[in-house]
Amino acid sequence: MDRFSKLVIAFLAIGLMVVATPSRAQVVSDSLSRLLGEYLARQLEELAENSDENADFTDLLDAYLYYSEQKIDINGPQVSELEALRLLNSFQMEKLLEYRKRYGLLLSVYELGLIEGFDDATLEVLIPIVTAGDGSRVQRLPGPLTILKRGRNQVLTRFERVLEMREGYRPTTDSALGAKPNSRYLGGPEKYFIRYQFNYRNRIRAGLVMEKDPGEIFLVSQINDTLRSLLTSKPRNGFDFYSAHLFVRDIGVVKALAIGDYHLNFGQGLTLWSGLSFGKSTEPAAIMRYGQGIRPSASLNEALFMRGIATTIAIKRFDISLFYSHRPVDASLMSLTDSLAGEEFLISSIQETGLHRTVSEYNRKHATTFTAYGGRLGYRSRRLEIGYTAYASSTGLAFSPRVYPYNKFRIHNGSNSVQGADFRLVFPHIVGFGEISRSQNGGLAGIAGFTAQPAGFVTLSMAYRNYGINYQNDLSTAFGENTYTNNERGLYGGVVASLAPGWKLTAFADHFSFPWLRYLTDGPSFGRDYYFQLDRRFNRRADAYLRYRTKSRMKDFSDPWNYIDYQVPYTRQSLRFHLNTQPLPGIALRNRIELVHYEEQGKPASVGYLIYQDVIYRPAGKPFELTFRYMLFDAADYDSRLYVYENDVLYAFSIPMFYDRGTRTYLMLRYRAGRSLDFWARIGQTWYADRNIIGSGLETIEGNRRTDFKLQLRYKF
Amino acid sequence: MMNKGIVFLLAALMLLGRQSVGAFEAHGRAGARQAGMGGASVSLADVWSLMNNPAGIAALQSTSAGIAFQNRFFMKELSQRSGVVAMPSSLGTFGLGFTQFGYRLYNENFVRLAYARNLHPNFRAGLGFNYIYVQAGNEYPARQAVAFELGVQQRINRQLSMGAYLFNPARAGISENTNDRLPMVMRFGLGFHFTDQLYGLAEVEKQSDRKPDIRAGLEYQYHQFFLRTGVAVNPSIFNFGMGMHIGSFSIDISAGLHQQLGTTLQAGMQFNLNKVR
Repeated sequence: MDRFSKLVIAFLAIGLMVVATPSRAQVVSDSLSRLLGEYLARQLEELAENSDENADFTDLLDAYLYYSEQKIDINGPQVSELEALRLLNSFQMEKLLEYRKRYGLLLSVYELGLIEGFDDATLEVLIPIVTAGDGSRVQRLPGPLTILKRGRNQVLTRFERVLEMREGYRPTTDSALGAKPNSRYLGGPEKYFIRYQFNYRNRIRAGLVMEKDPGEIFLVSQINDTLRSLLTSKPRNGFDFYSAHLFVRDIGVVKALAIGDYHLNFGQGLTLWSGLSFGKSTEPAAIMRYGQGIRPSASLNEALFMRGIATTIAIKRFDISLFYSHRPVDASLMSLTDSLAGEEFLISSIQETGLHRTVSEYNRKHATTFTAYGGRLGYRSRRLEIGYTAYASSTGLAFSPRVYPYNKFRIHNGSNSVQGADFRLVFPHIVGFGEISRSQNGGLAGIAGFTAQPAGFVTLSMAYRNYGINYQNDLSTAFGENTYTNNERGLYGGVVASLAPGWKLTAFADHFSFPWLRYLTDGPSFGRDYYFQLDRRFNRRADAYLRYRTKSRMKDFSDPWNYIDYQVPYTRQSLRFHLNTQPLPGIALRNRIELVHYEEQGKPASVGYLIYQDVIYRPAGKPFELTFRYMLFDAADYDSRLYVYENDVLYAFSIPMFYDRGTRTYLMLRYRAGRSLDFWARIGQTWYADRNIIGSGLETIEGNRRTDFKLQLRYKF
Repeated sequence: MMNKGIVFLLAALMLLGRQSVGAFEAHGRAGARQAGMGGASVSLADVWSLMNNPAGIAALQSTSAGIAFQNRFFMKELSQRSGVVAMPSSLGTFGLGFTQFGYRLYNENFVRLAYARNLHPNFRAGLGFNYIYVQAGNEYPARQAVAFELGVQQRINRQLSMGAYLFNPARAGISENTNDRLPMVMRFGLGFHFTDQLYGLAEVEKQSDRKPDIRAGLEYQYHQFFLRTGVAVNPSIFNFGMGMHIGSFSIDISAGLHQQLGTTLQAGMQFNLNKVR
């Protein structure tokens, strides 16, 4: 019996044991509410199209999930979190604060409905995650024992694997391995994930995350001896990635203190913003960032976090933040042999996937380090927030990457310093924002914009961005098209309007240009992005939206006979209709039809479409919930691929991409075994009608099905 | 007599329609107000409607006139001058307007005579006749053409109105030697009063030899000041504009930003010559 089956049995045994114990099935609202889930799903689908496949979105969504469990007091100071989470816009926040000032504390969350600008959709998202508390100021912390006793603990374990045999796990001979050491993975195909979290009244949070990706080493004894001899560092038993954090807030003048892994989000993200951001989201008002300062990190993105210590001290209206971070970085090295000084190494490239599955991936692990330190001085009054941020960073080894014309301005010698100033100016009907930043080499970047509410139900947002071609910043995640914040100019305008009760129109236009070359784009290029969405809310049980988007950019003409790669435009248009209904109590349906049309000069057009049906069965008073999807997809090629959000086990988010012809189905069960124990199981299968081989390289599956399986347990105490 | 005139005119249009110009620009659209809103104008009703959708001038309460100047990309050769005057009467509203684009060696001139009236309190229609004169260089003969146009505007409810416009349905030609023709242009759009202060509009334009263009804009009024913004899709232009009313006089300025080509500026002023009650 292989290890996989043993694990399944162990999981099931625990499950059965739990089922046998009498359960007090109490409805605890800890999963995302339907509307909030929908909202996030939409944002994620946009994001997935522009980010790499392995991105872990937990980081971005952690706060939403967190506050679904720890409610925000609308009468307290924490209410500003709602703005940072984009659940309220600046104007709604302004109205809420005004209401509180005028009528005193809100007696119930339902009182929010009386405030101007709070429509049904906003309330439906908000009510599950807020509470009307006494708005009391921060209390003194009790002794450590009381904290430990009263704090809440949560352990989450997840197991995942693809059931089909993939090339990288197929048995092979030692001689074949010796000849091609990277033709097999070092570890097994399972993914293990364990997360522990402690929380005391949102004031003290601690966490530990451990993870092993498929193909990574878990047990050293499993590694093939031929491969083991090739590893440059001695492998160890256990997980591949560990992350821990301790986060404390509001103790005297210390507004926040993070030890371990954390994130920094300042200003508009131009100077310093670690981790992911929603980028160009479907919400025009969201072009304005809301820097939350220091946040704990519990993410699985192994290359996008800060490790060390960070603190924010608040004195009257001033905030002073300081941080130091030092973390390992995966890199491939180049040796410089010097007969006198011995061997020296230089970095030839940095890997951000966080995967260490093959010999070469393993040998790149933690090959160098990234150190950053700096701080921010902020001032905040009722109408104005300004800040000055500066940091310096360096890599453990010097850089010697391959220089191509496209990355000529991006790469630098390994050490850098960046400084920038940002502002936000809030008035009842208009909010202005901006940030300007300068890197050590003199590269400049800036963004400025506003969000205005010329009528109560119309919001207009505009922003101009200009990121210089020589602007260099490894910790920048500003609004834009590019993955890196440089080489981009653009003008964005968007509007959200409630045309009539139940009807909402969202539209934006973005014109952008890249003055310098980009990867696979050997010339200056430009593009346009237009988005149009009409939302209709029929009643509490049914809503729908229709969306059209067209986006054009340019890339090299893909004709092998061309010696000069000139730029040709390509356009991707998509049309989507999505419907949510609840025909019976306890049953929710979701339907979607989507059409994608891709056109590139000199190539035939490519068309893709998908259609799916979701059934969600959530019987009242029963401790379980079932989610089922059946989807058909048919896309001519990768160019007309489609991205779809899938319901997943709590804290996991999948937005897989589909092309070719086939079906995708999944079934997920959630079982609530008592107050403290939850159990999830999910099985999904993609079947291709027109393929005998799925994937490429080590991920190749010989067959036309790919089945993924997940189990998750959560224990709260 | 009247019928004979129409037959003659149609015959003339058909004959002219055998020939004519490549990139003919001046089929209408003038005024700095519409230029601040992405060029969406088919559902607007002001004195510049004379050039944008003649039905709009039927909404005027008094004799009005306007002049505007537009410059593209800061090149003096690419400027456009225009002027309009419209006079309401008991028979309907009559208007006369012109635009002139270009410089000494290449210019497009456009004179329009329009008539519009309210057919119903919520519905108005307009008709325009255009004389077009194009001069290219010293060596070539000037070219001319006559084209007509039709437009309607309707108030659907308190908030929503629509406009539709058709230019040169007879496909008038503009050259005696080639088959160049004036473009046919169709526009359809909606206007929406979100509040008394905020007006939004959107339209689609199809010219016979171009891809369809979609335009949308917003106008916000703050006392006697106006702020405008808009976008056009094809060509892709972002617009910003401002306006001010001072008694019976108003001025507007606008800027259009094209990614590659640069900035188009337009300024205009309008006056009401006599207030009818």
